[in-house]
Amino acid sequence: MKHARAIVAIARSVTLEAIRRKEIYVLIAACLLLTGLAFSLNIFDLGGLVKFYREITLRLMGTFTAVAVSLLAVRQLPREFEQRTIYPLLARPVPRSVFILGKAVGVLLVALASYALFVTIYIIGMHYLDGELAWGLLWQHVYLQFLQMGLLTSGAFLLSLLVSPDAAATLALLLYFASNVMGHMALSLYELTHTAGRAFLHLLTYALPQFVLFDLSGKVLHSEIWDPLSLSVMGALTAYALIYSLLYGVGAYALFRRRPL
Amino acid sequence: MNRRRGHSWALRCMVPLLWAMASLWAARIDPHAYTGGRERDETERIRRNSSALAAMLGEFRTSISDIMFMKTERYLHGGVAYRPHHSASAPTAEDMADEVEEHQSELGIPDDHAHKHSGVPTVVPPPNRDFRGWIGDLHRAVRPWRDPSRAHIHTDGRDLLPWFRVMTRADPRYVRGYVAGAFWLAQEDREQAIAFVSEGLEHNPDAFELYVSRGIIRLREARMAEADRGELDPDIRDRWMQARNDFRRGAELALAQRPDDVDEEGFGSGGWGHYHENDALTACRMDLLITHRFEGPVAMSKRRTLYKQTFPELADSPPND
Amino acid sequence: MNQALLPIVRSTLIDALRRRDLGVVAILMWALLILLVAARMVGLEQPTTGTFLLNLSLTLVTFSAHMIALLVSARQLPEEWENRTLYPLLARPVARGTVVLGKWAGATVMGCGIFIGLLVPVWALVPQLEFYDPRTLAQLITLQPLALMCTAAIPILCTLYLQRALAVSVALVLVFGADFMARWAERFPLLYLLPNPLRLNLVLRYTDGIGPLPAGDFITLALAALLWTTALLIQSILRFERRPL
Repeated sequence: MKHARAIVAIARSVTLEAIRRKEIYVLIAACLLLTGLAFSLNIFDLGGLVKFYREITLRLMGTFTAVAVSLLAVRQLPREFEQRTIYPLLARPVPRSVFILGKAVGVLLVALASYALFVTIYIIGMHYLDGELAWGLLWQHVYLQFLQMGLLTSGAFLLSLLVSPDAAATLALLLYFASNVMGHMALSLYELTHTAGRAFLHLLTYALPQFVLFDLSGKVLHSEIWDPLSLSVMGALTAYALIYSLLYGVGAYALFRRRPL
Repeated sequence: MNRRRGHSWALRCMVPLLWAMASLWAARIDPHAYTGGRERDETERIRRNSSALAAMLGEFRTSISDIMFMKTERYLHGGVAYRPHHSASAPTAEDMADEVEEHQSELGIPDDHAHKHSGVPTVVPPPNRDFRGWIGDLHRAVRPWRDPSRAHIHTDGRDLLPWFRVMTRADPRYVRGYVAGAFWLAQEDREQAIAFVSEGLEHNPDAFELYVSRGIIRLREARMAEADRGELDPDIRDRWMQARNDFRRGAELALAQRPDDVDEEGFGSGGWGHYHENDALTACRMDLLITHRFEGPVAMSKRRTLYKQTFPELADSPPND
Repeated sequence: MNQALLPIVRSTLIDALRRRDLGVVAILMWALLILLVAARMVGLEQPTTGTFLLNLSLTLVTFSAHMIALLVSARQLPEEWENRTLYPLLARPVARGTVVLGKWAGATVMGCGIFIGLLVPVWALVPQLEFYDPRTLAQLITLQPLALMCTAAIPILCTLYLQRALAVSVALVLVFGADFMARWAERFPLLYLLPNPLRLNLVLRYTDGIGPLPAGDFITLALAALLWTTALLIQSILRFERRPL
């Protein structure tokens, strides 16, 4: 609690930087533009074709938020060394763990703000199309997306201290977008491999973040068929996100500490 | 200084000129404006999507026909991802109209044989075949998933219409996109469906499947109008003739395109598949039926002589008076 | 001009190496290799599956090359402004146009390098089980550098008019979306005017087993790419020359 003020100050600096660099505006504007274009498509003069708009909007929301988070997160830690802004910070009585936490909170605040805006547009759009919103599933999806952004942030922090920021962003986005393919690849290869190969696939499955677990859009899309997730599943997903975020965060912290000034 | 400014103005004028030239030239040429091709071939599409490689890639595809196939599968099964399970053939325009072939749900056919549709493996495997343990459990909880031993969920394909619109815009040479889209659209608005197929014919004037598809929609329209009015007035007769013309044109094109080496299952060289064969047969048969009704047995017999050289099974169709 | 151009191209490439852009390339190459090796492990039961994999891999190769050319090109001028490294460069007897051309050429070379670098493992690892016309492949390989020239020129111009992030977004939409948007050009004729480097992409034509483009079409497409690139570069140079330091 004694470092709460420092966390707030660091998080604030991250959000201010995001606002100053204007990239986030561009990403939000691009997402809104594409969503608007999708909503404005006239499909054979027919109304009520809600699933198409739902799918396009949910995909765009997830994709643009992930890109924004990755680009913002990979810059945070290495840049402090490059621009030598780490020295005045470390001169203050702020532990490095608090510093990283503040950075993560800042990135997540930006993610939350942009995602909240997208969700608002989504709700307005669905209202305009007379589409059912399926509130239970929608809020669960939003919550899971937020957990996913936390996982992506801590993963991007760790990667940014291992490789260059551009490579870290590429890797983070590759892991994000290819999560589904990697899962299927592991399932297919498991049948074809033996002890060592299977052990490796187990390791990959448990070491890499499974972003696909936080994508509830398939159920939101077909919400007339599927019920919201049970509390136990939501609890398990929350625990997964928190534990993995913590592990990656600890890894980032260890690298950050050992990095020469 | 003035000379430099003159150069600058000359360059400034060149930019729009070069730009317009480049854009107008490029707009005339589409490297993908060819008929057929492995990607658009339904038989090939079924083969590649049934492969172990496709299972490994999950939902990752770059081809338009594959993406549409995935969307269709998912939407019609309430979002549940099944491994492709249609081993033999792709659906035909006639099959779609009849709504009887069970395996056609992939292209948007609702069927009432859901009980037969079980045991097909899901893309995300059941717990006993998933090595990922609790991660697999969470995956199955989050994604639309159903035990493969249970009957499939079947929804209608109305929501697929935007995808057919986008897909045919992206690749106007994808004939099956027009056929399947028109089938679903006809349930909502026949005029729009006819316009949609006609658009497909503008881009693919030699695609006989599209003539068959439009003929079927027009035939239904004529039948319903006749049933409603209880008589055959000139307007309804005109509709019947339009349908006949579509089937006839389709039959002529199909016979011209059909290779000589078609086997008993309907497969031949040059990418000719079972669905081509069925659509060709439908075009001939429907032409004969309508000709028989409106022009009499003699006119029909002449056409039949022409068609039965290729399709001997048409010798008794329709039955002689 | 030539004497000044080459050092700028070289410095663009060295900068890309220094910034470990090759790390990004290596990641993409590894991802592609993992995909290809995994595909070989699960097996390619029939010729059509081999074609499926070839199409997928070549599409990823093309996408990666254009993406890297675009991102490298989009970084060049804004970073020179931000880091104030343009002043020492322009203090030398180097025309501003040469700077633009050098930066563009560096990004193009980078894109072409990635295209060739990724094409080789695809070639080595994907078995060609069906007929593919080698003449179409020759056209594909010839047109790609021209397409990459155009792709690298688009962000250069965008960054001279727009803020960097917006410029990258616009360039991404133009490069990867123009071919799709052109399908609506009958209703919105202005869309015909969009530069469309991916129209020169013959991957699908090649994997579909179709023969080469007629010579006239091939030359027209190549000329269109050259004209787009020339127009983009002339406008970029004119803009850059008028821009205050």
